[in-house]
Amino acid sequence: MKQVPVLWLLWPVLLVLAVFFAAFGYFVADSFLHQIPGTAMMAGPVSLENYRTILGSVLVQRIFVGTLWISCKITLAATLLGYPLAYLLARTASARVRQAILFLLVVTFLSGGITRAYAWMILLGNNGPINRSLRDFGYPPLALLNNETGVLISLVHFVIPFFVLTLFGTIKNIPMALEEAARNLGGRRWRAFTSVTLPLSLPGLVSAMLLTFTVTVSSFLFPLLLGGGRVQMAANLIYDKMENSFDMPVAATISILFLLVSLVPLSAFSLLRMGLGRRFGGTRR
Amino acid sequence: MGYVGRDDAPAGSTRPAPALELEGLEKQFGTMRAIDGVSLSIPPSSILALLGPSGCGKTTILRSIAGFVELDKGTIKLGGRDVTKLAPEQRGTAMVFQNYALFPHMTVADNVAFGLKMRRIGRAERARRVADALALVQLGPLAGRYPGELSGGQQQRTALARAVVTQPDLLLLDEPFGALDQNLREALQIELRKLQQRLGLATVIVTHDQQEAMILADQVAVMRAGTVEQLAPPAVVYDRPATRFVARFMGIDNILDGELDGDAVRLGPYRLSMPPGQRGVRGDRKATIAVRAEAIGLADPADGWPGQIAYATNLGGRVLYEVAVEGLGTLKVDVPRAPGYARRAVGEAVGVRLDHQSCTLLRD
Repeated sequence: MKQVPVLWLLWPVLLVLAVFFAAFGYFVADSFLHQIPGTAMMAGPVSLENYRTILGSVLVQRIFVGTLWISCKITLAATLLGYPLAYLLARTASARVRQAILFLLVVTFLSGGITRAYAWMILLGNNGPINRSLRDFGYPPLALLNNETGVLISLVHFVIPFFVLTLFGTIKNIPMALEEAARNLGGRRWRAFTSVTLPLSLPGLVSAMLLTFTVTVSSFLFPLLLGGGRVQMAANLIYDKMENSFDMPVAATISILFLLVSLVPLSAFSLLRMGLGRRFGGTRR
Repeated sequence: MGYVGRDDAPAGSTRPAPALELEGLEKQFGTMRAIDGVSLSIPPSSILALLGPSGCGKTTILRSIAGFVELDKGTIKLGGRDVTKLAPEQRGTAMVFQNYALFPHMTVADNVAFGLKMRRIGRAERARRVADALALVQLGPLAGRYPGELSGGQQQRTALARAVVTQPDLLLLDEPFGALDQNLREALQIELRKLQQRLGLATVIVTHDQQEAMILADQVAVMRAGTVEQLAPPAVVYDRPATRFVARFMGIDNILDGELDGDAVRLGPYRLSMPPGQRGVRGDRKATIAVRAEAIGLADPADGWPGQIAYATNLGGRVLYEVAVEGLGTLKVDVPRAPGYARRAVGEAVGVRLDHQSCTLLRD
């Protein structure tokens, strides 16, 4: 049989990549143009003018930093809440508990973002069940909606399934016998966890945090609907430039700059995970 | 952790408390009775083997001694100290797990040092004791390796070093040779036996391999469905199984049902006189006899119970015959084969000879 040259097999892949990157390339090219005032159209000359303006804009800087900061907070919160949940899910002896947690996570995961955003608006609102119960018990209501609190709560809820389902597999793969061995050798429950299970789960933990951070940093819907206009994240700013100012070149510039900015923490996470993989993955039986 | 005197021991008693005492252990998982009333004890410095098929409750007993299984009933004492309600880390047992459960992210030396670190033993003494333990199992040169870089036998020895370095009151071994191939297994079993004797370490080993129990144990508890079927030294379990189950488990092929007839047992048309001490085990008239295939001899048809060779299997140094004995059924007969031995042909008429010394009356 005659062999098909290997390069021919690359065509479908190259085609997909070409379409994928052409869109990006087009967008990148836009960022060097400028808007024709009062229209949604763009024109030359090609310049770095947009980059100069955006990099000098205090507002944009504040939104970039704010977005990364919120993402850090969400990732931390997801870790603190999600690790125990993933651990329980992986270690519980009761099939019913495991099924219940999995059911809740998957339902959360599969229900659409808008549904959840509106659900949180009802729950957190001034006349929502939380504030109503607080009032009934004689406490002052809390400002949970139309501010950062609402965005944080709803985003943590949004990312928890990503976090838990990513970490769960790693913990489940750590044999129970290792923890038992640690306790048999005289370690209390907490020592057994910190010296055996926790270090062995680090690769999964970093993956889960990486995914959580990635999902959060690009969030758009929750700050839009629950932030009450007071919380603007990078995606909201880009949307605003495109859909309200019709300024495609500036939107493109902000996108590219934010992509570069968020690559810094993301690559740090990735490097960390690679290092951990070598340390804890290579020696595992 | 030292031994504490038994509460109920008479004052001034010089007899040391048993290393381990189990009293009336019971444990139910769902509808299954995993441990169904087990009581036994082992003297200091000796090895007890819990022997039985999978699901007989032997591992559950071991795990309950280590503190990983909460019992429904019963007490566990280590050196006279009641540990039934203690957490695993407070019991002073050391366990070698079935797949060793070595910490994959720690070197051999760190694995071995773990128990000492948990006991807050200082760096200098820790290093000395780790080196001693590794020397004991001949792993000194591999101290810096990770478990994933070791062979099965080396992993097993690391697990052993990690357990003995803490100077436990009781060593627990859960099928410690299960993952190793046959040659290595026997060498390591003998090595372990020597090590245990040198350290004088009371030990409980769980195994389904009767030969392993023979090699290692001072006492064997043969288990079935959560109960101890027979507790005796290995030679006794081997030569004089108490029940049909033990006889089968110890690899006895011939189990014959008959009736008591004075000092003898009537088997079909034949009478077999039983030695003293082998009589009247059961309350009723029935009698069941176990006899090993190796204990039966073949002779001329006139010299024994008449029979006919039904099948012959070559086992290398031995030949295993199936012999159809008139009025009795098929017996398995295992005959050593020296050079020049002429194998008997299928259909050949033979006389079967049973030595009553090697027959055992069973309890059921």
